Amino acid sequence: MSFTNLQVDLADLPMAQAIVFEPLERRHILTQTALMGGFVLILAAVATVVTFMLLPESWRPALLALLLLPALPLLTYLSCNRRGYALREQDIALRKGIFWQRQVIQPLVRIQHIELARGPIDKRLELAGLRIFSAGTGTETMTIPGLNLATAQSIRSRLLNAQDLQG
Amino acid sequence: MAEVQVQLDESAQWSRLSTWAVVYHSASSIRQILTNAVTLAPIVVGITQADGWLVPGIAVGLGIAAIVVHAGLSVRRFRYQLLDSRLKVRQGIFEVAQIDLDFSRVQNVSIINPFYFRPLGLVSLTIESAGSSDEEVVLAALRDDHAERIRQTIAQSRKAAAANTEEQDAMVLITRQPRDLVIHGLSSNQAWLVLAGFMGVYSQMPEAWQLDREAIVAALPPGVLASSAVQMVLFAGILLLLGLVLMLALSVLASLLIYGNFELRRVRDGFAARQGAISSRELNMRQRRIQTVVVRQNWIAKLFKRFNLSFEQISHGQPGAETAGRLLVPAVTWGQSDELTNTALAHQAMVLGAESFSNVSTYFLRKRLLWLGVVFGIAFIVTLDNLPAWVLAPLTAITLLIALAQYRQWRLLGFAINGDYLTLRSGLVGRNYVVAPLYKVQRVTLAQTSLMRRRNIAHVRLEFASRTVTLPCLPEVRANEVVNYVLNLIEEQPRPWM
Repeated sequence: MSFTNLQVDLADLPMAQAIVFEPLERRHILTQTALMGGFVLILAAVATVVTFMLLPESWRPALLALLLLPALPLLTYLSCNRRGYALREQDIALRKGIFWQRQVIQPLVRIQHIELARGPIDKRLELAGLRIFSAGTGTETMTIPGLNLATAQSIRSRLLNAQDLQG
Repeated sequence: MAEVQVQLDESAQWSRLSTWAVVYHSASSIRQILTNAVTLAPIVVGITQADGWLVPGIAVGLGIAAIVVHAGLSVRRFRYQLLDSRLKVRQGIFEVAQIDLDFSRVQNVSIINPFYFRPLGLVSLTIESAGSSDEEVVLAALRDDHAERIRQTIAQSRKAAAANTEEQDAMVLITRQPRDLVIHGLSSNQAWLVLAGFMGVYSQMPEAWQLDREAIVAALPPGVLASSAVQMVLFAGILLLLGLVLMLALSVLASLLIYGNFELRRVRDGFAARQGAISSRELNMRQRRIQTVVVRQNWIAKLFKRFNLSFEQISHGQPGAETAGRLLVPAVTWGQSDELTNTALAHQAMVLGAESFSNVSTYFLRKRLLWLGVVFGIAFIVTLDNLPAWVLAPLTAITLLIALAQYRQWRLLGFAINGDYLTLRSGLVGRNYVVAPLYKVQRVTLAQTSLMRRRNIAHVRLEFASRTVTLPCLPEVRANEVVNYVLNLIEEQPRPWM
């Protein structure tokens, strides 16, 4: 395990693992969970109707599989709950994933452009999502959903300022 | 024939293309259609099945006429204006679009020299901008000296800020002989592409054209079907070998055609490669746009002790970018590869073979061996229940071989961080290297599953504009060190990445 030429004193570097992540807005987490719950209910209803009306009786035990469905809103809740962001002096970090936990760190100097994304529900709840594009990495973007509109706007202007500074 | 008239200094004048440009545009349309031939195959087959040749003849004739008319109209409407630091182009038949291409945004300038233009001394100039993929300007059928002048104008205005504006002698870095190209053909898998195309066409053909199974059997020497298992295996082996030889031959042919007369030159702000046996093509890549250098060696290349080296620039994430964003130097030796890598990355004498690579955690190997064990266990039980016991011997042998291969892959997988540069080594028989300047990283990701978290292991993903480099299964402490080091490098003193 030898590193060549890593002479910078590593203890002095700002530590990525020491980032304190801000959670998403509570109402965003709840609406997402509720949306998934609603979707699951509709799915269950459709499946039940189809099984009872159209399919032979022997298929009915398969409906037991519906018992697995509540896992979906639960996963949505956990996933949204786990998501967090942190704005640091030089970069912006996003934490996401339940099973596959990822910390994405985007240096401000490499940001290409920023989008404020708001769906109809976001508008009603005064929420906003930020989509951050970095150059060259193509379609893969960094998305921070469920921010307070004011927070999202101030983060955006902060990122834009940082871009202006580097010219 | 209308001569090309360009006034370099007079800004108000719009120039037109030579009539010969129609030939170029028609040819490139037809070539584009032919490259998509796989999808067109059913239509072609349908045409050939029609009674007589009159209808298909007319159809093809009309098609070609349409292409030529279209090319003619677009050439007629095409206007361009060469200014000091930019190129203005007006093009379009019904909808005229004006493109204003600033030379500072130009990514690539290629001079294409199709065989049918050679006797006329004409070439086509393709100018790609860094902004978007559709902002590409083709000036077809220019006189070669004129095209060269435009290329130099662009190169000069790119360098206008630089103190030294006189044209530096382009230094030839490397040329490739047919022998090298043969090695490249053998060691790169271009034949798979050709073959896949053929298979696509073949499966679309009508039944009557496809090989008749009974006919094949009848063509075999008598008594084959009655032969023993050993003979059958031998026969299959020979067939396989023949197929392999055929494929390698195809690949060598493709390599000779694509990379014939290869020459890589050092030009003032980057590299210029000329390649192509029939139509020579000139590719330019600016040095600061190079994001990563990839050195590849598969088992055949290892036999010859050669590597295939490519410079990679921004890939825009578009399909087909695989070739668009790369400049490949076929079949280089160890020494040449080091030299080219150092030149491309403006690096102080790095020697790939002498880097001290850190291995990744044994977790990487243990996880793979565990999965192999599970698969082996299942196969073992299934075999024991259903097949004769001797099958276990080859099964065990194969499993051991795979385990050995996995061990070797783990041994070879390593990375070295040397100042600003990261080198990642991987491979099974041969070795592959990715060399990347860490200050060009776009984004950093640290990933782990909860199982990995418990064992203090994490993956580090470094996204470059050209590719994503993953350092898998590092000890968590080291992973954090790498992430912090890279971020520090980018943020403390931002340097331009393109």
